[in-house]
Amino acid sequence: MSNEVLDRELTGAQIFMECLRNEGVDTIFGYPGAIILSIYEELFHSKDITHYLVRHEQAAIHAAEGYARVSGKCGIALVTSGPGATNTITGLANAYLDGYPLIVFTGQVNSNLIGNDAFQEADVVGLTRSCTKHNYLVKDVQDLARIIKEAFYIATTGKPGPVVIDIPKNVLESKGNFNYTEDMQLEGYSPKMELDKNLASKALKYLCEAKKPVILAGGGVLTAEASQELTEFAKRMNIPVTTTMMGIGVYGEDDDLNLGMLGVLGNYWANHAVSECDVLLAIGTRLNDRILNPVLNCVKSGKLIHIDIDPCAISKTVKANMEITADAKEALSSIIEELNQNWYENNSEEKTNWVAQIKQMKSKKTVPVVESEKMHAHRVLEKIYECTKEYEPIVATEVGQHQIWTVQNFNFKKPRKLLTSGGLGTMGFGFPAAMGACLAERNSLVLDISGDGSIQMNIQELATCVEYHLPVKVLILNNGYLGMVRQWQEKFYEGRYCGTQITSPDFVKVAEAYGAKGIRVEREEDIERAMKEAIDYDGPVFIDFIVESFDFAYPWVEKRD
Amino acid sequence: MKHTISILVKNESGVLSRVSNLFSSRGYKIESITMAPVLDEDYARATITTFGDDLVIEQITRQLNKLIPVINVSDIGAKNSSFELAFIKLETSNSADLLKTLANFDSKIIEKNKTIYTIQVVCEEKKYPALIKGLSNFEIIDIVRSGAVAI
Repeated sequence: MSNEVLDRELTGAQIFMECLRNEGVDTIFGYPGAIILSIYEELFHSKDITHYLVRHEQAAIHAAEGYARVSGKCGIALVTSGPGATNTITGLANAYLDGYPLIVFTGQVNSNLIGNDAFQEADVVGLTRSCTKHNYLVKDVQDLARIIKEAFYIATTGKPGPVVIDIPKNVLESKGNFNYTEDMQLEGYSPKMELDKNLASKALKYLCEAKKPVILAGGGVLTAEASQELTEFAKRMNIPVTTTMMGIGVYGEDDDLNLGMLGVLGNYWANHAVSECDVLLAIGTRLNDRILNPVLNCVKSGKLIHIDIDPCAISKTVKANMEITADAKEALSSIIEELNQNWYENNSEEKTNWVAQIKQMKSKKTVPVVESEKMHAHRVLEKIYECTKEYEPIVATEVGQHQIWTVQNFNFKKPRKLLTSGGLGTMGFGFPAAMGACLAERNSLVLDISGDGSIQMNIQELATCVEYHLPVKVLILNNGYLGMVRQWQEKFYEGRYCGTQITSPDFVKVAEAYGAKGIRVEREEDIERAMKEAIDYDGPVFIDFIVESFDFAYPWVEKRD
Repeated sequence: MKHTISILVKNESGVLSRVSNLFSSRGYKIESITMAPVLDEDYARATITTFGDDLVIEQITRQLNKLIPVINVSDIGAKNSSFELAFIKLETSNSADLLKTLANFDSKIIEKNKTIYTIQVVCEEKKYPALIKGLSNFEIIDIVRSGAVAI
C-alpha cells in the first residue's frame, strides 16, 4: 500500500478497490446497475482488476466459486441492488453448503431509503442470512475497509464459505479515511484448531488395533490441502479410503486402496466396506444424509472417529465415538508425527486380509444398460475420459445422471479437478463454474459435462465465454429427459413421466448463434474425432451427444428413512 | 428436556435476528427469548429457553458458537433455576383472597383501580403453573411475561 493512498481521503468505491488490491484480487465476476456505478467508474480506470460481465447474476456467483475451487483463493462477485442481489441466492447457498470462500458485494439503495420499499430495494442481509457464513450492511464509509478485511478473514478461514457485503449507494459515494489493517482478530471467532497430542495417540491406537478400518475423506481434506498427508497415512497403515463426492480427488482414484465414492449413488463396495468396518475415520465431512446409511451400519458395532474443522459437523447426524475438532491437515500431520515418534502395534495381517476382501468386491463392477440403437451415456463418458485424460482436465458437472456417470467413469488423481455441486445439487452450476476455472487455470483443458436439462439453466453464459474467450468444452449428454428425476419416476411411480420429458433447442445452432462451435455426435465411433476437434478448437464448444433416454444411473443403494 | 441457554453477543444491529433465525431455520424450538445489554454496552446477553435431548442441545450450542457476533454460549442446563418477571392484570372484589394467594409468591400490587389490580410477580420459571393455578379463581384480564433469565 502506498503512503499516497494512506494519506488521502477516498470514496467508498475507491476504498473498495484499494481493499481488493490489498487482498491480491485481480478477477471480479459481476453485473452492473445504477446503484453501483461509482464502483464501475473505478473499474473503468483500473488496470490491475479485471471485471468479467456475466449474463445473469447467479452465474457470477457460480463462476466466482469455480474460480475459488480451482485457485484456492477467495472468489469475488459484484452485483447491483434488488434483483441483482436476489439472483445471487442460489449461488450463495451452493457455496455455503460446499464450503468455498466467496465475497459477494451487493449494491443497496441510499441509507435514508432503506425500509421504504424503494426502487430495486431488497433486504439483502435478511435474505442471505441463512445462506452465508456471515453478512454485513455497511452503514458508514469509515467501517468499509474493516468490514472487507473481516469478510476475507471469515470467508477463507475455518470451514470456508460465502460472505455478503451490502453497500448503500451513498456509502460508496461518500468520503472516508482509508486504513487497512494487516492484523486480523475477531472476538468470538477462532477458526484455527490444532489436534491435541493425546487425541492423536488415542485415534491412532484405535486405527492400529482395527481389523477392518476404513478412512472416509470429504471436501475438508481438499480445502485443507491435506491430500499428501492422507495418502501417506493410508498407505503406511494399509487402510482403504473412500471419499464423499466433495472429496473426490483427494486420494488418487487409480490407487489400490481407493474405493471411490461412498453414498446413495456411490460404489457399492465402498458402501459395503463402510457398513462392515470396525473403525471408521471420517475426516473433513459432515456425514450428511447421502452417505449416512453405511455410517449408521458401521456404528452399530464399530467405532466412528470424526475429525472436522467445524464442530457443528460432528455428532450432528450420528454420534461419534471420538470427536476431534481440527483442520484435516493439522490432524493428519499430528497423527503421522505420533506414528513416527512412538511405537504402535499395527494389526497388519488382518488389515491385509481386509484389503484383499474389498479388492474382490471391487472387481465385480457391472453397469446394466437397456437395449438401444442410441449411444449409452456412460459409454460416451468412458470414451471422453480416454480422449482427455492425458490433459488432466478440470471437469465441471451439472447435476443429474451425467454427474454420477462422470464420477464413475473418470479417475480423478488430484484434488481441485472436479467441480460439482455436492451439497445443494444445483443444476446450472457447472457451466459458469467452468468459466471461473478457465480464468483460474488459463492453460488447462476445462470441460463442463452436462445434461440437456442442466445446460439450459445457464446457457446464456455462452455469450460470456465467447466475449472473453473462455474455451469451455461443454459436453451435453442429450437424452430428452430430466434423467435423474425420470429415473425416480420409473422406479417409484411406475413410469408415469410427469414434467420430466424436456425439449431442447438445436444445441449446435445455439452454439453457432453465440459465435461458438457446435458439434453433434450420434455414433460411438465419432466420439474421438469430435473430442479432438473440440480440444483443438481455440474457443468454447458445445458437443451434443444424442444418447439413450432410459438408462439408469447405477448403482442404486436404497435410502432408508 | 428444557434448557436455558445464555448467549453473550456483540450488541450490534441484527444480532437478535441472527440468533432467532438459527433456531427457526434448523427447526429448534424457542419457548422464550430475552435480550438486553450487559454492563459493557458493546455487548448484550440473550437468554433462551428451549427443548431437546442432549445431542440437540449440544448441536444448538455449537451452532450458536458458529455465529460471528456470538462471543460465548453457556448451557445453564436444566438444573439451575431461572426466573421470570410477569405482570398480571385481574379483576376481583375479594382483595383478602387475592392477598392470601399472592403471599405464596414474590409479588406486589403495583396498581389498583377499583376492582382491577395490576400485580408484579417474580417467579421461578417452574413455579409459574402454580401461580396461574392459584389465580384461576380471579378473572384474569391480561398477562405479560418477560421470559426466563438466569445466571
